[in-house]
Parts: sequence; C-alpha cells; structure tokens
Amino acid sequence: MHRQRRTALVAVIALLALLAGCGESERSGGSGGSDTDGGGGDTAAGEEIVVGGVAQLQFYEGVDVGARARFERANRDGGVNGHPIRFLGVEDDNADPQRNTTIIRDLVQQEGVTAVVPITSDTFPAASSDFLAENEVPYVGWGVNPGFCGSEWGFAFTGCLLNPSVVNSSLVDPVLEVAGGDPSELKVALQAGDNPQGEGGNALYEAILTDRGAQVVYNESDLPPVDPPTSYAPWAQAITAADPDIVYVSTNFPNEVGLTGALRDAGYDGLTVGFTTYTPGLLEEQPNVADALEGHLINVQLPPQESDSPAIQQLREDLEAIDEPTDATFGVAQGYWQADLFIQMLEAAGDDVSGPGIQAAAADGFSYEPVDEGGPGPLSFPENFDVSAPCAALVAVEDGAYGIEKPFSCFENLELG
Amino acid sequence: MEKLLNLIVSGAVSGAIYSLVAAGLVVSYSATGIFNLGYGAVAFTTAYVYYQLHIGLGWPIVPAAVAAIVVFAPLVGVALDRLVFRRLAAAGDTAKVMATVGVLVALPAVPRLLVEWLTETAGWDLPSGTKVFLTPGIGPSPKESWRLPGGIVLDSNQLIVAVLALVVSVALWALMRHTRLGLRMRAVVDRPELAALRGVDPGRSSTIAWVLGSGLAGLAGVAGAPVFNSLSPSTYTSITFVATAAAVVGRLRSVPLAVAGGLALGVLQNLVTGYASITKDIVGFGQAVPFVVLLGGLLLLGRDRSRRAGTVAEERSVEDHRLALSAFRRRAPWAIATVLLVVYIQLVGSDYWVGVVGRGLALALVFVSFVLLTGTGGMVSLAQAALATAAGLSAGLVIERYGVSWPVGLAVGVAVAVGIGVVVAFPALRLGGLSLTLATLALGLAGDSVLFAWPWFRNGTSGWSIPRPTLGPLDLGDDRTFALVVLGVILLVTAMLHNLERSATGRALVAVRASETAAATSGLSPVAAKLGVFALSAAIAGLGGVFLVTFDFHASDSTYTTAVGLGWLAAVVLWGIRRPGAAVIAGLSASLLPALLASGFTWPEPVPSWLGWDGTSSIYVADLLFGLGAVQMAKSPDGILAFVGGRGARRRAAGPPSAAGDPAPGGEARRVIGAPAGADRTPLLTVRGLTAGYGAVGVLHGIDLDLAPGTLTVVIGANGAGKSTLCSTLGGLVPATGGRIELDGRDVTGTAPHGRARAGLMVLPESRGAFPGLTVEDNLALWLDRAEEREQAYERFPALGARRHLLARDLSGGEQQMVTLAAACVRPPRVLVADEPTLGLAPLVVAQVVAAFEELRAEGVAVLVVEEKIGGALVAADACATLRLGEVTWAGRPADLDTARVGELHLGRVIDPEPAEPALLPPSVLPAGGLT
Repeated sequence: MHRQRRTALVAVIALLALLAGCGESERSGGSGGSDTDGGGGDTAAGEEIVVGGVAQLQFYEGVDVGARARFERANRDGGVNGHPIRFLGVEDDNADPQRNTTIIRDLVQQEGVTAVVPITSDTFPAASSDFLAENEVPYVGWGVNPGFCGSEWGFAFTGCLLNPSVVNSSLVDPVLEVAGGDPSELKVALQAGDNPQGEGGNALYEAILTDRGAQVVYNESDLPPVDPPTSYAPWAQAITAADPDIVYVSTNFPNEVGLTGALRDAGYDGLTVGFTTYTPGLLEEQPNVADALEGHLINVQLPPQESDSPAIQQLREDLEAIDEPTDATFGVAQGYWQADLFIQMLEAAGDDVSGPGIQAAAADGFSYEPVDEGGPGPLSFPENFDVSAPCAALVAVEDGAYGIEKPFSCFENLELG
Repeated sequence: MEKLLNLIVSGAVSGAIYSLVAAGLVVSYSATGIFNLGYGAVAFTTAYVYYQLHIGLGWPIVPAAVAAIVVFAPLVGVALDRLVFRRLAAAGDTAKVMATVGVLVALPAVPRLLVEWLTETAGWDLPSGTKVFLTPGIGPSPKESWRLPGGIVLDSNQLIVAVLALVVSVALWALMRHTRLGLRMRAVVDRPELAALRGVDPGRSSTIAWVLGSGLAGLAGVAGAPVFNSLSPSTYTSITFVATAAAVVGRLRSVPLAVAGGLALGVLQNLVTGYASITKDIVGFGQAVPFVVLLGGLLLLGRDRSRRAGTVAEERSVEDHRLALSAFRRRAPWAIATVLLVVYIQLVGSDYWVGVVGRGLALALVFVSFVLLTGTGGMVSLAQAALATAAGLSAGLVIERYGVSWPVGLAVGVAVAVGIGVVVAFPALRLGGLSLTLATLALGLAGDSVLFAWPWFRNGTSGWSIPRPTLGPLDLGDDRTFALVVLGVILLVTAMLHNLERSATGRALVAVRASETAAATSGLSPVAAKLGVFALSAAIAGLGGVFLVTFDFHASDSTYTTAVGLGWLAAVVLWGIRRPGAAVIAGLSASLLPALLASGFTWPEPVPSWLGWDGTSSIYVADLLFGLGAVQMAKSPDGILAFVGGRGARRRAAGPPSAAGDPAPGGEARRVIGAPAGADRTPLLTVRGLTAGYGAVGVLHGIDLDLAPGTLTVVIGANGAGKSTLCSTLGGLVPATGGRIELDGRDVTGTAPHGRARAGLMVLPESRGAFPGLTVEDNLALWLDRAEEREQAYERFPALGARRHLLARDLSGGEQQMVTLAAACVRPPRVLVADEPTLGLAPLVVAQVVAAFEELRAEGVAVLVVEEKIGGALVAADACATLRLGEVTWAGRPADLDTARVGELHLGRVIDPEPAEPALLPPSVLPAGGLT
C-alpha cells in the first residue's frame, strides 16, 4: 500500500547519503594546503603544492600538456624551494561559464588547491574569478578575460589585455613596419564583432593608428560575434569600397577566416591582420583554411614556436622529457608559460607557499622574466594587473604554413588622452 | 546601384541555405506535427559523420556523402521516431517541443563521444573535429570562386546549396502535394486516429516522415557545411533558428513559400547590414533581424484561426493520483524531504556540495516560474531565462552603479522582469501553442543579441559585481545561509502558488486555459488572466534570477542565455511541469548532475570504494543525459513524478480483474444486434461478448453483433450508453478487454485500426469523418486513389465538385459528411460503421445521408449506424437494437421499437407503464428530429 511513498523516502535518503559521501570525499581526499579560508599559516617546507587548471581544451588543445611539461621539470629539479608541485591536470569547461565555475569551485573546495593554474578559456566568468579572490586563491591565466584585469589575485602571463584607456602598441607597430613607407600614407580599415569587446578593441586600434599618423578610413563593429554569418559579402564589399591598405579583422576564429577569404575573393590585395588564427597544425589539416588565410598576418601574444629561440628549445626539451610530441601548439605554449610564471611566483614567495603567501609575494613589486631568451614578458606586478605586457610577434601565412614575419618583441603602452 | 544589386544577389545566394533548412523544417513539421528544434543538431551530426568519413578516414566525397546522408541520417530518423517521437504523438505540445530540445543537446554528443572513445581507447587516428572551419562540403575543396560584373562574387559552395535548395523544394512540394505518401503523411498529422481508420499506418507514416526529415537535415548539414563555416552544433542550431523565420513565412505548411522566405531573408539581412545605420548604432541589432522577422511572421500569419467556440479543449487534464490521498499523506514526503535538505545544508554537506545545492535551489526558484506559466497557465515561454538575466543585470546595475542596497536591487530586478514579462505576454494574447513557443523563443534570442549586448545595461565587458548581502541576522555570504534563505523563498512562493490555484484567480486561469471563448462568455477576461500569469511568473523568474547572480557574486549577459533556458524548461518538463516540487528536483538535478559527473562521488565508510565513481572529464556525457531525458519524456510526458506516483496509485486501485465477456445479467438469452442471418447471408462482421473501457472504467459489458452483407442495422442509445466506444472498439482505436471480433471469419480482435480498414472495415467517427486540414480532393483521394473514381464521386455529389479545392474545415457539417460518404459510395467498404452520422444536420441533409446508406446497402455493404435519437437511418433500417450502460437492452425489428423503450433509454425508466394501447409507431410517423 505505502510502497510508493516508501520508495520516495528511500530515494531521498539515498540521495542524502550520496551527498554526505561527497562531503566525506572532500574531507578524506583533500591533501596539504587545503585550508582555503585564508587563515592558513605557513606550509611546512617540502610539502607539496597542489595546483589544477581549467581550459577550453577542445579549442586550446594541449594546455594541460604544456603546464605539465613545465611543472615536471620543476619537480625533476627538486621542486620549487624544495616544494614539489602536484599538478591535478586541466578540466575542460567547453566555454560554458557555469561549467567553468563548477570546476573552479571543485578545485578549491574539494581538491583544496593552493592556486589555479593554468586558465585558458574564452569564458572565465566573474563568478569564477570573484570566488577565487573571495577564497584567497591566486590564479594564473591569459589576460583576455576580465578576471585578469584589476584583481590582485589574477596573474596573466600577458598582463591585462582589456584596459580601455591604455593602448598596447605591439598591436600596430609591427604591422606598420611590414606595410613600410610613411604611415601617414596608409589607409586602415577596422572590422570587429558586434559586441562591446569588438567596439572597445577597435577604439584602441584607432587611437594608436591615429597616434602613428595612419588614416582610419573604416571602423565598424557589426560582424555577428558568435556564430558566423552565411555570407561575408556585405562586409567585404563595404571594406573594399573604403579602399584600405591594411584591414584589421578582430573577431573570433571562424569570422577571421571567413572574412579574410571573402576579402581575397572580392579582389582585395592589401594586408589583412588578425589575432585568433595562429593555431599550429591547423593549416596542414585544413587546406580550406590555409587557402583563405594565404598572406594573412596574425598578431600573436606569446612566442611562436616557429622562432626556435632558446626558450622554445627548452620548451621542446621539457615536452620530450614527459614523452609528449614536441609541437608547441598555441594551447601547449599557453599552459607552459602560465606554469612558468607561477613557478617564478613560487620562487618569490619563499617559504610561505600558501595561497595568500604566494599572492602577497607576487602582487607587490614582483617581476617576471623568462630565464631563457625568447619567452614572453617581461611582466611586473601590480602594474600588469591593469595593463598588458606590450609584446607580440607577427606571424604570416605563407604557402599554407605559419612563418615569422616579425619576431616576438616588446613595444610600449600608451595612455589614451 | 551596383552595391544594391550586389547585396541582393549575394543575399539571395546566401539565403539559399535558409531555404534548404526551412524546406526540411516545413516537411518535418507537416509530416509529423512536431516542430523539431533539434533539426540543426541532426544536420550537425550528419555533417560531423561526413567529416570524419571524408577527412578522418579519407573516403572520397561520393561514398562518404552517401553513407552520411542516405544511410546515417535516415537511421537517426528511425531512432528518433522509435525511441522518442512516435510515443509522443498523443502528448501535449510542451512535452513534444521539449523532447526536441533533448535531441538538440544530446544528438551532437553521440558521434563526438564515439570519436573521443575511438581515439583515446581504441587508438584510432581521427581528427577531433572540434575546431573545423570552412568545413569541406560536397563540392571542390578549396572552393572555386568567380567574380562577376558588378563586384558580385559567387563560389562553388554557394552554387551547390542554391541548386540543391531549388531541386529539393520542387521535389518536396511534389512529394507532399502529389503523391499518396505525402497525402498519407498529411492525413496522419491532421487527424491521426481517423487516418488509421482509413487504412493509413500511423507508425509507418511517422517513421517515413522522420527518415525523410532527417535525410533532408543531413543533406543541408553536409552540403551547407562550408556555408555554415564552423563545424559546431551551436552554429548549426542558430542557423536553424534563423531558418525558422523562413519556415514561418511558409506558414509551416508551404515548401515553396518557405524557400522564397529563405531567399528573402538572406537579401534582407544583407540589405540591413549594408544600408541600415541602426545596425551600427545599436549593438547586436544585425543579429536580431531574423528574430524580428520570425516574431512579425508569427504575429501576422501564426494566429490560431481554428474555431474556438464550441470546441473541446484538446489538452486532456492529467490524472492526479494524489487527489485520492489525504492532505497529510500528500504533503508528508515533501515535508520530510525539506527537513532532510535543511539538515543536509546546515550540518552534513561539505562547502562544495552545499554550494552546488544552493545554486540548484536558486535555479529551482526560476524553474517554479515555469510551473505557474506552463503547468498552470498552459502557455510555453522560452524567454524565461531572458527574464532571469534581465532581472540579474538590472539588480547589478542599480547596486553597483547607483549604490542601492541589495533588497532594493532585488525589487528593481523583479520589477524589470515583470515589465519585460508583460511585453513577452503580448504575443500570447494572439498566439497559442507552437506559435507562442516560437514567438517567445524569438523574443528571448532577440533579447540576448540586443538588450543584453547594450553596454550601458551590461556594463561593457565586465558585467556587474553583486556583493553577497547581510540581511539582518542572515549573512548570505555564507553558502549555507544562502541555500537556506533560497529554500525559504521557494517554500513561500510555493505556498503562494497553492493559494493562487485555489483562489478565484486560479480558477479563472484554468478556465481561460481550457477555453478562452467559454471563459470570456462567463465574464472572465482572458487578456487580464494571461497578462497576470505572465507577470507573476516573470516576477518569480526575476526573483530567481537575482538570487542566481547573487550566488555568482556577479551578473553578466552570457551565463543564462535563451539557449541555456531551453535546457531549463526541458529539465522541468522531465520531472513534471505541473508541480513546484518537480521544479525543485529539476533545479537540484540541473546543478548536481554536472558536478557529480565531473567530480564523481564516494560513499561513507562502510561502503566499499569501488561503488563510488571518479567522475568523467568528457564534456559530452552530461549532454547525453539530455537524450535519456527525452526518451524518458516520451515514456511519461506528464513527468517522472506523475509517472512514479501514478504507478503506485494504479497498483492501489487495481482490484480483482473484472470477468471479461460475462454473460448478460439475469441469465437471459443474449440479445444479438443485427438482422437475423438468412440462409444465404452469412454474417460479415461477428462480435461475441465484446467488453471494452478506459483504464479501470468498463464501458461495454458483453456486446454481441452480427452484421450481414446488404443490411442496415441501427443501434440507439443515450449519452453514455457506450455508442462511441462501440464504434471505436470495432475500429480498433479502443482495445477490446474481452470477447472476439471476426471480420469475414478472420479474428481481428487484436488487429491495428489500419489493418482492419485495409480488410474492408470503414468506421466513420463521431462528428464527421473528414480531415479538416485537407482539401475535398485530398479527402477523397485518401480512399479513392484513381482520378476517375473521384470524378464519379463528384458526379454523385455535385456540391462537392464545386468545392473540391476547399479545405474540409471550411465546408458545412453536411458537406463534410458527404465527403466521407461519397468516397464510400464510389468504392464501397465491406462493412461501414457510422457513429451518429446525422447529428446536428438539417432534415434535408439527413435524408441525403440516409439515402447514401441505403445505396451502400444495395451494393451489399453491411452497414451499422449508431444514433442517439430515433429517426434518421432508423427509417430505413433492417434491424435495430437499444444500448444502455454498455449492454444491449433490446434487439429486433425497427417496427417493434416502441416509444416507451426509447424513453427508457433516455430517462432510465419506462415512460408510460400502462399505455392504453401498445404504442406501436410506424417508423414513417416518427419525427425526423427524434423524440428528445
């Protein structure tokens, strides 16, 4: 008679037991450094440092591999100041903000990480970054997310890339060099996506281009920002009508490929510049993309593997040491350099390798410079909480492959008036 | 001028992909009656399979395309039909649409999970296919492109799509309008039961429709891949949403119009991008154009034109097993669950899991708004997530920019949600059902791309910070307190909803839902009721939205999008849209499941650790659960709670099984309906001891029937006597619980309706046997395949000939009856069963109907007519019987039927126990309208 109710009751109790079990796992599974309430004292020397990361692994393949390569080297060298690093790996957030937050909370509250490293995702919502700051967990990532701007807990290996009042001249200077001649003779078109990011980015490019004397003849941010349109004809036509010498396409990957190709089809033969289409390995696999991007310039904010500098050689050695392919793809390089930044933060922290200890050492008067020549940076905090490291390389697509047009180097940050 | 021409031509070419998708949407919808929001997912999945075959395994284009489009996609169609949609044929609109959301989420995960497994576990060397752009299609790769005069650029991929769109649309139009297959599919959608009675196998028709629809989706997905550019499910789905606007231009019925709509949409998008300065001034306006078209199209064309007065509500009410339980027993499980949840939050759970539960409860609060709007109000809104986002952003705006306190921010957020909710409600005043669903989807998507992209509203790129407040003794900064406060709010809102349902307002809501016309004539205002329920549900969604962003410390435009909201409604429908408790379970499971999947779980100490689970890092597993949800939804469209509870209730209710085919009471000899069979007349249809009913309620209690060829038998019974049940059971729509039905010596008791129809049994159900949505010509063609036969029918009934291209619903009742009888007269069935064929017809028309029956009898058909009143066919009958409470009370010749007996049927007693003379009324003097 009462079976149905009893079933419901049993189900509820089972669910609660399950949840209790989850709680249990937190208590038994958490290892050293799990005190995340901020009151944690010094961690004893030699105790391991637990870190884990989150990334859009489908898109930035190899973030986990790059970070692991760098952490393993540190461990082979006896840890940082004697502390071995236990790297939990990288969870895939699939660019889903809720999933990102769930992963971050899991890392902090269940796994008890000291810091979150690396973070490479198109989505790193404030629900994640504010939670980390609230729980005094430092995090290291890529400065394209708002969480790496203005927060004293967020350390980006590129610095903050979103400051609307400071312009990074590495976005423009190398391109003007490639174009050659007198900048005041150059006409530039700016095409961005239809969202505040696109509009803000274009304003920055326009400011610095004007400062350098070039004419901006077209500035629109009206490309669909997420899903590509079925035809780029209206944009290609409007841009070519302005008769530019250089076209900046600052939008997402599919739009950059689509619009660049459409401009070529429409007979445009000037320079095109983008920011997202440097993905080693992709051109060989996808001839359509290589075809559309032929001649395209890409501003890359980390040292591209094609440069073969001592830093890149070290990266390849570290990959080899953990039996991974030595291809330093964009994702691998992201993970690797973020881990490299974190290791120098740890070194600065000395014996206090708790989350707050690391943050205290790195947030105030800390500078990062890669040991080997040819790495990213230099950075210094707190400055780079607010501005980017004005460094970039210019990669060109030639004969279906990436080549270095301008090697990775640093320029200047300009305050907008 | 050159620019204009360029934009128009390139727009039309790029619009071809919308045409191709829209044509498929129209065909799927008109052949299945289900609007498949997952259409883009089918297209994506096929394109992904093609990509893996062509690029991953290196197959040449043709075999890869054939395998994907001709083999794989149709198999997907078969699977969807068998697992989900066939079983949902009789379910409400909400469950149907939400099951397609399950497809939308789950289907793309299947091949990607397989590829993930093949590469990681089985060591295959396949590309992941997750980062593919300018995806190769079936044309040359890289594409050929041509620069035409006037700056127009065309490429091979666009041409292929444009040519396919034209070819496919012509082929589909021909298939649906000019083939028997198309006719049958349209008939099934129009009136599935009637189609079965006409010999159409609804299951087969449904399978064919899904196979066709999936094949078309696959074709669009594979051939259009280069135009879609990015091989990602979201791109495919968003193009499908845009193409929906084109399908609506074709009123979801006409393939040519939908194709034209797609081309026009492409042109419009190009012109807006090229000329309208508004797209530059308003962030996101360009993307919103198709949704404005969709909304406008729905408002102009989507109005429900069917007759509202006098129709019975289509939606059946859900059997609520809990009504049988006492209030205490209804509430006890929930009370216990609440107490356990409080104990868990306060004492047992770890920080992490309490956080997950707290977030789930905030989601549940938003979900409760679905219970009010969709569960109680019967209106589907896909814009609820937009309301939650709007409330969160407004609260953040006033808290961060103007520095107001959190409670004020909450109030502002709720007020904004109510304001927008009323705007969303306006389409609901005009639209219902699918049109309303699509209109709210359009509003939600337009909100995502315009309102929530407005930099002032969303604070540029950074969004709004919302510090967790302290309310008196309650510090919401603590996740435990937060969870408890949200739980308290949910309880308050639930109590309010319960009170509302019992109040006059609640009754008004139910009345408006059941029949707007009836409600209006009872002095209720449907406008006020609809606006009220939208506003209130918006307030609840807004409340939940503010709690969600408070939990997140932050409000942004991208976390709770309309696409996410689709999944929300699907989760609530899965558990049961009519109950707040289901909304809470849905909210908790939406938050808990991803967390459990990602981090796994362990049991407390005594349980061995291998019973735990480490979790999965695959992002596809959670998506697959949506697919299981869709399958479960097909099993129990009213939700899991009703399903589980209902099973228990049925067990309690099931008494000893009733004896089937029990003999007539009193041990009397059975009365057999039908004229006594002569030596030369073997009965064609023989029924013995037939019992049937609905659930636990028996309706027919042992009916015997003999119908001989060339006889006309009339059964008379009052309302509730079981007449319609008798007809439906003979036709096979209601299964017999006992007894035996033989057609020409063959046992057909267990045969499906279309099988009986094909064996020569034609049943005309009550209230006209015509398909209202088909033309007269199509109605006839369903039974008369040859044109000569249809011409004969028009000769026999000239009035129909003049109206052959009108829809049957536009005919008078008598003409509709003529349509059916005309078909039967030209190609007579062996047995004809008609349920109240003269109901509500004018006397002259009744005479024509009776003449048709006589004609059929003369042709040798065994005719059974069921009537409530004497008169009508009784005049011409060879045999007659009376039916009362599911039993035959009298059988004999019409001449022997007396008034007293008929009076007894209707009044329950013999009118005049001692008539001066036996009231033997010759049939000829019976008034045509009967005695009542």
